[in-house]
Amino acid sequence: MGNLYLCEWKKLFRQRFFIVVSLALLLGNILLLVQYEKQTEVYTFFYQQKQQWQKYQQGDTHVSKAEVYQSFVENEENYVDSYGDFLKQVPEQADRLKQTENYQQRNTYLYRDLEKTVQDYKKLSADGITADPSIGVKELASYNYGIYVQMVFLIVLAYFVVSSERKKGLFLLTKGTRRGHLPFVSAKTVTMLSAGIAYSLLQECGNLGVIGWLYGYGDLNRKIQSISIFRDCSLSITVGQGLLGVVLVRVAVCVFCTVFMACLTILFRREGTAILIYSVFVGVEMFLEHSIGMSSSLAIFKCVNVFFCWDMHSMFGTYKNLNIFGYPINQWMVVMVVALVFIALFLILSFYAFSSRFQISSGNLWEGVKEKIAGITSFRWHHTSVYRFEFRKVFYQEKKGFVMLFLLIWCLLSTKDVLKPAVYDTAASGEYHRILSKISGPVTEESLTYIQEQREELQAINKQLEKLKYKSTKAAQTEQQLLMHELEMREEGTELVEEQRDLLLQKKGNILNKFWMDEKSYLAFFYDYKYDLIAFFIATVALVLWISDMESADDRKGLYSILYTTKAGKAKIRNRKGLVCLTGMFFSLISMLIPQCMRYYNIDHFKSVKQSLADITSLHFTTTMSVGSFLFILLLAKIVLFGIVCGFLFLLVRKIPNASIVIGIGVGLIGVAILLLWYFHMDMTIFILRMLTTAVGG
Amino acid sequence: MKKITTGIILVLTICMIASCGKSATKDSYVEGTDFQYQYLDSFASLNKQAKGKKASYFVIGSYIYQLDEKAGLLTPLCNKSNCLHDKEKDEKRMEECNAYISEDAGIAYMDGYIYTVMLKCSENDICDTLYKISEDGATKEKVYQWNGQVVDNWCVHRNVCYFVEHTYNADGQEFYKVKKLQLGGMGKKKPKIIYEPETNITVFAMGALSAYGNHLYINVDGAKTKDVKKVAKKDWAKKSYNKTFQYDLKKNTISEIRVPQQSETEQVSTITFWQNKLLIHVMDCEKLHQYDAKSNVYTADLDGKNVTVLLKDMPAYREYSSDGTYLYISDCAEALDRIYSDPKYQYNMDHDIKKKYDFTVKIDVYDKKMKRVDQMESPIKSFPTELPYGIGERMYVLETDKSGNGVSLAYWDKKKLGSYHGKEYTFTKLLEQTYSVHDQQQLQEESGEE
Repeated sequence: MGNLYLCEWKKLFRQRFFIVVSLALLLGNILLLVQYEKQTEVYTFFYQQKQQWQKYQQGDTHVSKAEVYQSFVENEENYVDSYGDFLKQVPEQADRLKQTENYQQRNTYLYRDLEKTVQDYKKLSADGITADPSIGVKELASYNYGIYVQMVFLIVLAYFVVSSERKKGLFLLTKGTRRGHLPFVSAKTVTMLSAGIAYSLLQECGNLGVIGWLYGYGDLNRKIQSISIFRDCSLSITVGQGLLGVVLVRVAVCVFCTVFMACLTILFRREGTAILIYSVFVGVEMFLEHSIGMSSSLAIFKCVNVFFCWDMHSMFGTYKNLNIFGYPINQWMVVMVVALVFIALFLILSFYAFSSRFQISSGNLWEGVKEKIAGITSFRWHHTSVYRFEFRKVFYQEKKGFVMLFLLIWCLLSTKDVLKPAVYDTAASGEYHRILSKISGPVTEESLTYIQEQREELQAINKQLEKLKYKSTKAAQTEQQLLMHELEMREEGTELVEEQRDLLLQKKGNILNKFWMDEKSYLAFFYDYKYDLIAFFIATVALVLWISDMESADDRKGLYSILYTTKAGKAKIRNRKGLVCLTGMFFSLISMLIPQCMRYYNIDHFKSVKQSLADITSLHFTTTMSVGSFLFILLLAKIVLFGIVCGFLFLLVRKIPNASIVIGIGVGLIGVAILLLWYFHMDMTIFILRMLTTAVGG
Repeated sequence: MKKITTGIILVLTICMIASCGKSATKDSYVEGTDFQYQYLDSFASLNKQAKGKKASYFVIGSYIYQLDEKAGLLTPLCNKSNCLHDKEKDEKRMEECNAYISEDAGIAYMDGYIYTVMLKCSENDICDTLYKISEDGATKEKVYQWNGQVVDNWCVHRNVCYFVEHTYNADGQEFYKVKKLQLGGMGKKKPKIIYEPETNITVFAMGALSAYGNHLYINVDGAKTKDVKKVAKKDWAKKSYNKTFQYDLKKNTISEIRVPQQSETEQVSTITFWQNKLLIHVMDCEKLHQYDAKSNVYTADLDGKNVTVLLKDMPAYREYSSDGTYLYISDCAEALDRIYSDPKYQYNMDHDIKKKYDFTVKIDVYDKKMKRVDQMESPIKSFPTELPYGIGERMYVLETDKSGNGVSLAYWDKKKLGSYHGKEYTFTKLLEQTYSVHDQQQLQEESGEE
């Protein structure tokens, strides 16, 4: 077994691509962490201005941004001072609750939970709680993107340890040997586990190192409860032990995911299925962790969750007992037991599946049906066009036609959604949009008069109300109510338009050369990063799926050696494949851009696109670039970015003759990038707006 | 093996069907599942009190408190002893407290849970969210989230949430819709529209929703015109629109509540529930501010049919409320009308208003046989107010202290009815402790501003 294990490691280390990807992922994680930190205020005040902070710590209160440091220190000290009171009130509250009727029966979960809580906190004391700068620990706790990088690594690892050999048909040979069943699969599993653990350790130590270098961790011997985000922690551990603990827990998460991934890869002969199930699992875990509250009756699904366990804040910052058959069991105990049970289950399953099943890649019934249909309709493909031939292979044989169908449906539904009549939750918004839709376009005397007329109408309403003030008949009351209602509906919205007019008057140039722009709608869409990121993600994933099998399908079937001897030759076939890739890119791009363009069109049919950015009253630009030009640049930028992503993916496809790996890496990297942008509320539109602000000092 | 499998599937299916739609269908008040009309106040705002099986619940500031009468304890509705509740300063931890709700939120009890609609802020979105908190404070779960719609009013009744959705479109038009949302069960919930006001009506407000038995009641206050400019002076009297509708939960039909020979100028001003029937009070708009005017009080079936006169020639400006055992008739409405119709008060709060108007509210109390059992005076002298009488033998009230920042719990013992004979009834302080009506963050912000 030892030899087998060493053999597996040697095989893995000889895979140059695997080493490169692993190192790239490790480096990528560090870069991600640094970029993440750079976006925070903490980075500016406590790293970039480190000297100022250090001077402040030494007693110099006249440093720049001293008020920030003072507030930070005061908050820490106030928290530390309050911890003793917090501990005191735990048993006091418990005693008060025990007097109520809900806690009269001692054999209920409620009562037991209360008792356990008191007992757990009894072990703690305010000794060892000191106010030391906790920036490093808080920043480490807030960075949780490492899990995504690790999951991408595990997909790659599973491929190189299991799938690649199966594809080459090597399992047929090795399973025939004396130790080809259990010892062999054990060695593979242990290899995967050890590689996973090694990677995880390297990654987490890297994170610890970077954060420690940036901010430091303060006194590692102080109790972890010295840090406010860990106030609720019931463990009597130090900060140093906590840091070690977070590494160990994350390694444990890695072990769980590795065993799960190994099981899936061995169980399913098609790695695409394994990756799909793995991705669904990840998606479901993310959804459960995000959508279930800690106080929910389904809290067990939140706590027994890889994302929850990964999060240091959740790990040490929450105290939760789960109701297991009426008994309160600490969340960590439940997680450990569940994890161990599942790990054992996955191991047994994978060992059994490997030993008992025929380990080759194969097709299925659906493929047979598909081929029959393709045969009947094949007359449409009786031609000599290489492009059409390649397109057909991707569209039909590789079933990527569904991707196009999905994109079409998504585009239609998104466009329908965009064209739905807008609904607002305040009268001010409704009235603002009503007036702007009436006057949108160039500023004219008539439009200025219209706004004036709205104000005069409101003044007339006020005068009428004044007259009705001293009348008490029902008729007068009704008229009053209606007038007041009209006033409420229109006053605020009209004020918003007038404010916009007044600010526009203050801008340089003649107001009659400017435009009425529904600024609220435009800005809402400019800053709606979520919509843009989701659209980009869907379009790029569709593109990844479209091109993932382009090279590998032919490679898998060994067709290249035949194809390259044909009249078309290598260059032409590759060019046509590139064209098919571009076709997919074009379709994805159009599907993404149409709803986005329709959003802007739907505001005012582009009547105010000639407005210069400098004249937008809600922003502070000095550039005279028009909104239309900005939208055009945005469109171009999105096309270029999409093109770059497509180019990268096409390169990936050329280098990696395996669809599953391409999908895994492609979707993984894009997903991580999207998540990061999501966290920082950033997308192409906001990026360009910020660049314009910086470039022209707006 | 096959038979066993089939049998198991059959049993599971039967259990599933049996558990579906398990709600009361009695056409009368059912404690524990029905809307608690006993907690409606004179301003028809959201209920701030509720009564459960084991405790009474109160909204104090941004927290729900539960009163354990036996123990004489008022505690936040949160079972976590490691939670600081209303003393918490960290915003995230505040939201994690099971007792925490939005300020001005109302509560309702149903089937072992306290329901509340909170304004939930997430990143750049602010949206109304329906939560349910278990009556022991152990769990708090999100039931439904409204995206982009404002919920003006809501109530829960027999496993359904009824709410008034208020939106505006880009033409400046506003829309009110009364919708229902089935609670419980798996899957994504989708509200259904059950009522929309007529298109030619300008709605000023849709009053507090109430429900009793198999009926939901909706009040619409508005005007019969969309354009104020198109109404001639002489026509204003006819333009007033104030109607109450009942929605039959079983038949899914809607009808207006009217009394026989109701004239054009008469409107159903209030309804209340008395002895499994509707009690209808009608106001004649032509007799506005005529405090010696008389009107009849009617009783009708819950669907508004079979209307008969219950009380004849009652003073027009009276408020009617019941706790299921007694009917309380107060002159609070008259005192309020005098104040609100005073232009000095309406447009420019007159601080001498207390010297000018008598804030004393007198209440006549009737039993189920419509025999007057007592007459009493309200102890609240700060402003004419009709407080909800609540369920049970005690009426609970939160008395504000002099600073206005704290409240303490007091009660009025209904067993003392029959002993007042026109005198003031008094509140007895239940607990000495004062509870802050502002959360710690607000206090911090206010002290920072100072």
